[in-house]
Amino acid sequence: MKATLAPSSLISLPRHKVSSLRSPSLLLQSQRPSSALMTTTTASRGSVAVTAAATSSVEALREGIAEFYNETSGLWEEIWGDHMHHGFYDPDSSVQLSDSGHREAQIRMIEESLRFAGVTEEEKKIKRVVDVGCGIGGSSRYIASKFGAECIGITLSPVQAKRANDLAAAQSLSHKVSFQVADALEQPFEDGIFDLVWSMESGEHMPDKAKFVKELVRVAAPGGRIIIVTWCHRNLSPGEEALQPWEQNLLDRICKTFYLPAWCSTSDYVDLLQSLSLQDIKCADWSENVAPFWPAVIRTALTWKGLVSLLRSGMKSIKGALTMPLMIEGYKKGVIKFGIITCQKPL
Amino acid sequence: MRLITHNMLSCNIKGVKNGFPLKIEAEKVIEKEVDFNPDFLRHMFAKIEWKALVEAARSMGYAELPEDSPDATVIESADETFLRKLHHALLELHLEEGALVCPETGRKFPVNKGIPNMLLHEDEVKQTVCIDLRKGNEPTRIRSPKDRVLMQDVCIDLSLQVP
Repeated sequence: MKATLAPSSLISLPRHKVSSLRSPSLLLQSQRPSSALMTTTTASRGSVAVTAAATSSVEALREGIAEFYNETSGLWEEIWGDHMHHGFYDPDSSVQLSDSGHREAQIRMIEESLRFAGVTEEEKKIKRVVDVGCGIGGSSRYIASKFGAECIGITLSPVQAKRANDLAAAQSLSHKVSFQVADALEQPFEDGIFDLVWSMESGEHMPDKAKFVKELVRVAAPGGRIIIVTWCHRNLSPGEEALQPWEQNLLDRICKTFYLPAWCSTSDYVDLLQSLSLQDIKCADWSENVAPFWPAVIRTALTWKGLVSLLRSGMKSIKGALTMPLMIEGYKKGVIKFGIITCQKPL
Repeated sequence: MRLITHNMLSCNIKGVKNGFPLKIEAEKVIEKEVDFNPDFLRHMFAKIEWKALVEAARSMGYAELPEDSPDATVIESADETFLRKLHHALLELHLEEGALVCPETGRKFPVNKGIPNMLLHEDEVKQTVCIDLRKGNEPTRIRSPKDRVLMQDVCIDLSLQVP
């Protein structure tokens, strides 16, 4: 469940450490034994066999993510409903919100993201939407209804896909939204078919940010908009090579429980988009606007209903819940940032 | 899986040039009634790959769609006969169990309980690597433009794609 998931820790890789950080040992530790290393030989420049270690830990991450959400989605939905993302709040709002207040904040997050990207003025043009890392389909159903568009969602979790489809049917939206099991790094779509490419708090799970962004751009239609809302670590200052060791340590502890690979910063996403010649690239730090979220999640976890559900749900959920205070610490200390990055694909 | 979805899915295996449309092997097809919404259909019509839809509908046991895509006058007309057929094919036929088959490689993507599983296996995914001279011939994965810049002085050929 999103709440129990550690915020995706995006580690800025210090420049001189990039290659070592890319090594398999620093990818997420898998619970499964990795497959035996394949022989690495260079027959010629054109054919190189890469070590299996790197690829099998990515496989393990993918399986870990799927299993995590298979186990925890039901619990999240029971307590928080069908939106598996942060709410958007006015900064410094001291009002103690009710459950419905938080749900409204989650809807507001969608609306604020669309507005930031400049999408709301272009409603007629939005015919096809992809929801990358769709959870149980909250965003998809909302956006499909709002624009009268066809929305297709992808997730690694079969449990989530099934639940998302069931919810769509229950809300009479089956003709507009559908969900499948697919990998955001290998999207099963032709190039350029989506007017809106939506990634709401899924970027944190992507082990290869460059590939992730490339795929988002590939499937976007000319003139289409891409919206990425994700957990990042803070931007590095000029001349700063890396996060402080204590910062990296904090993020590493969060990574483990929530099946998150290496973190990056909002600037890294902007760099990637620039390198792919996207236009109208915008980004913002919404950390202040999401501050009430984690304390609220912890409060719900500590209710009688929350505790019982957690215990029923399993170890992954419990570990996740125990990691939640680290999220708050990360935000408070300015290590973790809640970022939005949007852009438009040239015509 | 409905055919409106099928009309968007393609096979992403590395090296595949013609991964669309996926052929359908239907084991279990069910029909679920959906409210008829002609405006939605008119809105979506331009985006539909017609031949793919006709073929797919046939695989699901529905052969009422015309071979050729009708022109705009038919879509916009008050006579909704065609739109009703389109509605049925696009939105009311569900593939519950079966497979989607890549037209080029024959690889089958299973469909269970109406949900296609489009995940690729490790060996179907392309990797980009370079040979890091500091590490003998050990390949290093290139994940970002930053990696490229950092590796350019110590790597041979930053464009290697691993099969």
